[in-house]
Amino acid sequence: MSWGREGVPGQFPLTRADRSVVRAVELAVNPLSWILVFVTWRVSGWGLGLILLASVEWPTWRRGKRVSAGPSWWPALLRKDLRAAVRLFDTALAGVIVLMFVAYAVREPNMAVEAAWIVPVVVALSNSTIALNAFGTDNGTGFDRYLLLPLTGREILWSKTVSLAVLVGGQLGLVAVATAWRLGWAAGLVVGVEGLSLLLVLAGWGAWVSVWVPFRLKAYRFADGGSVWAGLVAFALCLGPGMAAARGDWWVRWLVIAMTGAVCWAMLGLAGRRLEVGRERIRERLP
Amino acid sequence: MSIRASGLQKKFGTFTAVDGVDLTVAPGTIHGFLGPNGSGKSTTVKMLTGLIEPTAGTVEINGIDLRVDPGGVKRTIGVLPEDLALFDALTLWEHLALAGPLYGLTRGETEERAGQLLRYLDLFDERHTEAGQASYGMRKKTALALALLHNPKTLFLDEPFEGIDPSSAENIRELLVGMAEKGATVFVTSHILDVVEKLVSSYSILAGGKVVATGRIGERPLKDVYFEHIPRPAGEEFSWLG
Repeated sequence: MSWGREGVPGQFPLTRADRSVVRAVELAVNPLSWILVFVTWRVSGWGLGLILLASVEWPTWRRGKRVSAGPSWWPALLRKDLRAAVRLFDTALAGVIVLMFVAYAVREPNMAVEAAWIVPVVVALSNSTIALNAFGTDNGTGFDRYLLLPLTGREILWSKTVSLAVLVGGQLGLVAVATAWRLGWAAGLVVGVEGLSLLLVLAGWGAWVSVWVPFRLKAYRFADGGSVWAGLVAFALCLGPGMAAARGDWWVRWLVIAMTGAVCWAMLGLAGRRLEVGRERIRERLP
Repeated sequence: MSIRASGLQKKFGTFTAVDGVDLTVAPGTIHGFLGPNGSGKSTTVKMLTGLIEPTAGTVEINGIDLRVDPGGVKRTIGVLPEDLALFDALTLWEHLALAGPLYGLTRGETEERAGQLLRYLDLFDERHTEAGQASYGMRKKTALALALLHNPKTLFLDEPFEGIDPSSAENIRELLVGMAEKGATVFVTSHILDVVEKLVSSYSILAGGKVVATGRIGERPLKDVYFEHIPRPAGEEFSWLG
């Protein structure tokens, strides 16, 4: 054995790959990195949420008085859900991941296409907190208001789905645009289709879980409870259709969209009915 | 009849909270629903407004069977529930802006009525406060404004004067009397007998989940009827107090 054999892993001088590993480990164990990640996460996560919120609030600001909700009723519910969502750490984490991916796409000319496939799954899973606990931020009193308004269970869950679509769709849209910018429109479209299938999976499964095992969420916290098995199923559901949409042929992608769309539609109907019948049980679990 | 309930019962496990309540309230009536704590008043209101399902019995509001057409009932009633039922993340004004279109009001109508109600309840300047940050009184007034916004045929108010300042309470009383004169029905639960006696025209007294007395104001003093059926706890000598 002799020192100085260039290109032998684990021996000096270090190879380029070795140096990359050392730099990465150094960065990971450096407390300053963690502080930086924390600050970025808080600022950017909320920032992205606020951008989404502003897009909903904009029509009323433009009229010069931040008061009315417009002629239909769902913008007010959307505004409420977005306000609550940006106060959850899980959603903020998703925002940070999206911004990190955008930065990666902008800075790295040889961006790995696999990153563009996996990031939407991670973003969707991070947002699964609000999808699986649709009434988690409303608490019991807010849930009672839903019941007092002349809305059916299905309409209530549709309003939740719209909120989820705006929030998660906004985040995944950014991922798709960044991918398209770096790898071309075809790659961006694939990510868009993958994002849509993930959104449908989350909306359908989330509606079902939200009325079967409701769980209260706390602002400025990570979700610290809820159904573990529901989370594991969400993981499996996101990974399956997500990867199929990302890696399959186009006919597979459209099939995934059609299937997840049909399942989402059916789940919203079933969960809506369950909400009406089992409203007392849901209310009990949302103190 | 505006309110017709028959054999209304609610069980929570083995505990019977409401046991065979029959109620009939005519249009244009302010009906007081009285009783001590834990007598089942709020549970009854929750069943009448569709918040919870009765274990047994039927409910008909404004001629609509609650079990058959809950949406139809909800469109004709206004409710001030026990827990106020507000969304923490919405401002007081946004609650009204949300409810108006759901009851078929235009944006203009919603804004006009909401502004008028909030000014009358001395809440207009605080309208952009999120409900989660508002005081109990502000939340209660907002819930009341929500109950009134769509001009309901029948109002259910659970303890409407608790936690409300005197001037707003007087305004609310005048508003309710005015509504009843125009034909609306008001169903009020309360502990405060003096307030109820000045407001209502008929009453029911609930104890242990059962209606123990019904009557009209003016027949006999309400306090006499109440304490006849709801005995006061025995007197104690508090020599150590004061």
